[in-house]
Amino acid sequence: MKRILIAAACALASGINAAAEAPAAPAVLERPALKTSRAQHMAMLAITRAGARLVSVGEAGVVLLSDDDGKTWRQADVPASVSLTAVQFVDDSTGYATGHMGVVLKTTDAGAHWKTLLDGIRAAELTLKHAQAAHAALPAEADADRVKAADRQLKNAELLVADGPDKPFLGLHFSDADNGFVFGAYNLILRTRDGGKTWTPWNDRVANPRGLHLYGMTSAQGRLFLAGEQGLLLRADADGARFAPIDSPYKGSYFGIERSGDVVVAYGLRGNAFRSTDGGDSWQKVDAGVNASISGAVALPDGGLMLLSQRGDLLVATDPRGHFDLRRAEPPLPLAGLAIARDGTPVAASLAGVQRLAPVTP
Amino acid sequence: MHSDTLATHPVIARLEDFDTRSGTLAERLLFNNRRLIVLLCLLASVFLGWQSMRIELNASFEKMIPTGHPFIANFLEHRADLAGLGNSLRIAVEARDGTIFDKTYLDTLAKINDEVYLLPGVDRPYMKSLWTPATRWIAVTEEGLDGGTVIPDDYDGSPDSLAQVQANVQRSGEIGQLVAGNFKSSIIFVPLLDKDPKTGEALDYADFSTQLENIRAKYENTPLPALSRLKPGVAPSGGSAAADAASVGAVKIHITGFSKIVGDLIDGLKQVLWFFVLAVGIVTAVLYGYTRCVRSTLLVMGCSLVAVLWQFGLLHLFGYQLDPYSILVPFLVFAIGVSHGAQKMNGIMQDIGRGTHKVVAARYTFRRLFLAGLTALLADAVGFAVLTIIDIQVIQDLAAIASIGVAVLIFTNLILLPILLSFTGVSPKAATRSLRAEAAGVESASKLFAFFGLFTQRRWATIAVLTGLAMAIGGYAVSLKLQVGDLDPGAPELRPDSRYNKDSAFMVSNYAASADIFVVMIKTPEDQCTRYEVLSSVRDLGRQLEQLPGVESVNSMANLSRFAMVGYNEGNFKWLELIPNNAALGAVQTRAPRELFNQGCSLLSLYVYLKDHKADTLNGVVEVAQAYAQTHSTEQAQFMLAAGSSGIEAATNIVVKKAMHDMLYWVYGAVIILCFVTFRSWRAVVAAVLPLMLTSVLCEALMVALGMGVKVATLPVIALGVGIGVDYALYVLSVMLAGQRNGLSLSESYHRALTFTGRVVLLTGVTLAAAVATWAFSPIKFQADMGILLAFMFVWNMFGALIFLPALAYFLLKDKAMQPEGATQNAAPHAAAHAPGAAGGQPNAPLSAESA
Repeated sequence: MKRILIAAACALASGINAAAEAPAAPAVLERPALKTSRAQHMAMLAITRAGARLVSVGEAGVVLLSDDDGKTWRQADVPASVSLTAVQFVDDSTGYATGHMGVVLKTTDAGAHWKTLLDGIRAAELTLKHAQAAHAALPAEADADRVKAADRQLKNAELLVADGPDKPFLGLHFSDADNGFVFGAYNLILRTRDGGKTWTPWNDRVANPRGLHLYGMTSAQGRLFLAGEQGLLLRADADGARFAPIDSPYKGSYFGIERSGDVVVAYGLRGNAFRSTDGGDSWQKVDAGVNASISGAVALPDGGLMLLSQRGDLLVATDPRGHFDLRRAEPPLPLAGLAIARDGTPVAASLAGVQRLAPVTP
Repeated sequence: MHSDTLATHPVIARLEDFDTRSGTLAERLLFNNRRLIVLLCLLASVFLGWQSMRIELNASFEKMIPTGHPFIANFLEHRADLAGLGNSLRIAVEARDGTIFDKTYLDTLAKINDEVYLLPGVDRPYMKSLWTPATRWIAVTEEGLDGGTVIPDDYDGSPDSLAQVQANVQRSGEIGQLVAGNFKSSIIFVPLLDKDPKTGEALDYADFSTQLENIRAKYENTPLPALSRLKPGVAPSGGSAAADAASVGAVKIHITGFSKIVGDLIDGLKQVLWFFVLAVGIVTAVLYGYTRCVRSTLLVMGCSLVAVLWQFGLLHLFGYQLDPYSILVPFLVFAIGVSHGAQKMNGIMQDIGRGTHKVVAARYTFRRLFLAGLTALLADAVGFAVLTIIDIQVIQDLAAIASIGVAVLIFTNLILLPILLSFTGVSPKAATRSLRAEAAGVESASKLFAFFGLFTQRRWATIAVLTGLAMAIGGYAVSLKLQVGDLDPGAPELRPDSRYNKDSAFMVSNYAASADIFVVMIKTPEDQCTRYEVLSSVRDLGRQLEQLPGVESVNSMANLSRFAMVGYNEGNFKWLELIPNNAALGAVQTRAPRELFNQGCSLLSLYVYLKDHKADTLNGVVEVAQAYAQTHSTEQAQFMLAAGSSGIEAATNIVVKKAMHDMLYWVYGAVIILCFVTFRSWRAVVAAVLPLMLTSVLCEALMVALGMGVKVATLPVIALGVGIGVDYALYVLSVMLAGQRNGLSLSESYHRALTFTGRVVLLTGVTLAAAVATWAFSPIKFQADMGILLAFMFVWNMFGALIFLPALAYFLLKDKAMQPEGATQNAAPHAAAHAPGAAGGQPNAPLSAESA
């Protein structure tokens, strides 16, 4: 009873707070992305392949499609104009994308049309409901720590609602067309098991007490890896039921995590990259030889791996267990993402737009 | 109207036979006190001549802009928060070898920076270069944001600190702004103050420009421009090996900005003056060739030049300055003066040739032509004066300058000249010669006059009118393409290969952020400028503007805030978004440069960098921004246009465009009223004005063909053209109408007008056109363009008066319509009033021979 009172008081307090401070739902959530002749030169934040097609996402809800390996591009229909941060295709036609203000999009026609599955307002409501339910479901005999944790979850969820949709999703990981996670700022993470129809808040399954940003997820050797801010490195079994901490080799932030074969590479701030070949039990520093932050990674078709830096460095390894060769992207661009086109050309998503790069030989 | 002409002016060989009480009050007042008038004029010349020595030549940025336009009013109101968005200068210092990350280069840059800093007129707190403390870098580290001045405090020129500078430049966001993309040059950005805030003294552009050239010459180690012009063969690096060779000659300097354009124009004016001298020389030579009389030629030229002298004196007395755009006006005054002076001289010469005494001849001419001349000059003066309706001070000044000049001509060329001629007379040989010419003795002239005479006959009049109509329609169709504003990159006043335009091209090719900046101001309540609603609205407008083909990029607090979110999140690009979180957005203020928002966080500036300053580009931006301001302005965020060089230019274009038509309505309104007062006949007004209108239309078409836009500098030229043309029309038509009203047929009247005033119209039209046509070779493109336009208008107005006017008269001024009333109602009383001494109206011998 006492707990409920506290929760109600918190809700009230944050409710007042919300009325005073929370901005109205930003118009960009509802505004279809502007079709612009300059789309190709806008800041693009991620790029991937949908079968033969290249799909790149970026600022202002711009989604670019290329069917000729990045030579020409056209713009897709997108129902929101927020910055889109990540994109993944589970097959040639079905793909998901995440973005700012809690936006999750889905396409079933290889990127031509997208619809909104989730936004920050709904994500916050879901998280609050989930926290309230968890709180209410606490058994009477629950120990003090569990009560404390549930109280904190509830309070955070209430703040999440009060803040409005200011938190971005920064990444996603789908294992098939139905099952996947979307995650982002301040431990915001949800899971779907039905292709995005319903979402379950997953934040209470993630050992992230400081509410750090979640930047990347990958699966290798039957496990899921989740990397984030300030050295956050978590691991879950294939079912993803609970993400538990593992020993992180780095205190700085990881901007992502990628795998090639059995090798997992977590990368991030100021040229730091670490690899694990044993499913995350041990990690070795990759001598990248760059100072710029590593913004992305792409698994190469022949089993290799390429890392890219924000200053346009390309780190190429034919075998990610071995040495990474340092190359410069030509032209040098502030790289955010990279995909390998059908013809083998690396095509970059960068703050200066999408661009075919000169071929890279390891 | 003086419908009494030659018929009522008997030949009086001896002064004693002349009734000095005859003529109007004005005539008696002037001619019966000839010595006094000459003395007064002499005194006036001495005094005004002394005043004219002190006339200054300068320009002012603020005089060039329409201060009453809402854009400019907004800009001026928020000027304190918008430093550097008005008049500014960009100096690019280019390394001759290697890059800017070089000790010698940076040392030289520091010295130039310091010298420029000390120049008068520089708005020092807002000056920006690699060496100024306002130029900072920001970087992301594990600990958060780090930052400092681009040139570190402990800079010592060592390779290490040079590497540091390079790294700082790369993370400063100044590449393309202050530093060229190829790292071979960097910019010193110099905002200027039009007036010294302490002393209130106006910036001396010529002096400022000279000082800049001195700096340029010193650091480029090249001879001063004046020297290099004399010795083009001197190689730039061939100068003396100075002791300070390390820093001297290591750089090349490129300078752009309004003040440099004006400086170059003023500099070029010295050459412009030589073109004036040449033009005066040509006119003198032709005039002498025509009259073969030194006395009268010198008097006409002298009086016209005295008019310019008086004009200068009066300008200084009334506190006006000449500027590069009004410098042509004195020449126009001179030209109009010559046109009137030649008419007077011709009239007097013809009378003297008939045997009339010189004083009487002068008085006759005064009687015949004073009113026509006065009307023409008043039409000019009023026509110029209406330019004051244009809300741009430089044009208002020009209007005043031109009006003063034309008013002066009334005294010098309509009064002083005939009086002086009454003293000097003309050479007898010239007088008889002129009479022979008048009596159609000169073969070629008679053929020419016979040709012009054809236009008073049905067939040729029809052809002329139809041709004129076709030209008007065609000209109008072309003139619709007339653009407002600048059509070319750089400074269209200067030649494309001038140093300034080369410098301008250098800037365009090396720097992403152009000098053509349009700024939208966003006013918010105090301390609310970084709220999400405000910034997202600013961002939306920025995105709309970015869609325009003429827009290179935009920058604003909204743009910065997007990147700031990246910065606050360790540089992770995925945070590139305007986050709807007011606390996070507010925190950006501490890192934001002052250009983007004001001290009280109540005013944002949205910078729109344009590819050029063409009228189309500016129109596009204004259209989008204005529509957005109208639909999206709220209490929280009020969008206002406009500041920045292009904002000001856009406002100027809008004012000029409106003024272009208003001006023509007013000028023509004035001309029509004055013509009507003179002729008392609507038909005559139509015949006089339609040819002028054809010239105006064709002049606009010519501007299209020459690729000239209508702008502050070129706007007045059409009004001036009407002023020139109305002289011709009035002189020809007044003599023609007088003839018709005296019972002559249209053809006869016109022929008489041709032999009397028409020949002088022909003479001055061709002469002045030839004189100004030489300007086409001027080093200043503005003068060259004006020369072509004026030459066209001199010639075409002449054709208008000699071909279209009689052709229109054929249809409008039928003999039947004019003669009965003209002869009976108009001429008779005038004749009686004006020439009471000419009892019996002794017929003029040559005329009666002619009309018989």
